[in-house]
Amino acid sequence: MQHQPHSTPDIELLVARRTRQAAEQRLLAEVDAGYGHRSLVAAVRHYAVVAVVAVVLAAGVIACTSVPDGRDMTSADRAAVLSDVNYVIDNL
Amino acid sequence: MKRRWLITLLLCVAVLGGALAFRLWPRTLSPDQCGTVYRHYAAVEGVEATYIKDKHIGGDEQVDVTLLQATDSTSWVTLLRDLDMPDFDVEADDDFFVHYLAAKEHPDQRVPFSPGLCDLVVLWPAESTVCIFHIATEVQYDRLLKNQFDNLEQ
Repeated sequence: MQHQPHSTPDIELLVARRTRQAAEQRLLAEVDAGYGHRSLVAAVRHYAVVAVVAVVLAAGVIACTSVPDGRDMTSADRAAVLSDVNYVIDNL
Repeated sequence: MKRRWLITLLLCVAVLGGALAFRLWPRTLSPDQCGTVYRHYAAVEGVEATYIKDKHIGGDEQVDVTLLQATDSTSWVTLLRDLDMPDFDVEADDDFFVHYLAAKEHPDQRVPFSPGLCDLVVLWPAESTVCIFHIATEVQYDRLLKNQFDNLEQ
């Protein structure tokens, strides 16, 4: 069977189809890029808000928690030392 | 989206835990954060020296405290001599205390009360212990002696 060459309208149709496919792919890529950008902006905004809330929480905890007696001292035997100092204070 | 909230939750828990740990975790002071009396006696054999920062003494008041504990009678006598004090009977009553005001970081020099310039030195012979309160304000001084007046009233 002899191969028939494409007629001109066939080639034009093929070119039009390829052009349309390329345009669709370009459009899809742009949409993907746009979505990725928006997603990144949303994530940055979210974590910025979370960071601010976390700092406020940490400041609140530090402000509301009193430092226990003897937290800062040189001795490892904290309980015995504090007991002695408390006895002195109570019986001075 | 769910993963982001999980990370957020973990981040908040970590921050809260860190803040609590920062506030409550016991810390050992380095010598340069302590007074000169502590630094002197930390190197003396026979005396156990301890420095406590911001010890609560009632109300909102806090003072730094240096505690010197002689480990034997010879060291106690030496300690008393350093403070220019006579010897005490080591069998003294548990509640027998001697206190006086001394120049800041110079427990051997008696001075009248002057806010920020003096320490309250308390001798506790029964335990061969010297307790030095580094008072900075009159309120702290009053607070420390408050118990004494409370005890007298009882």
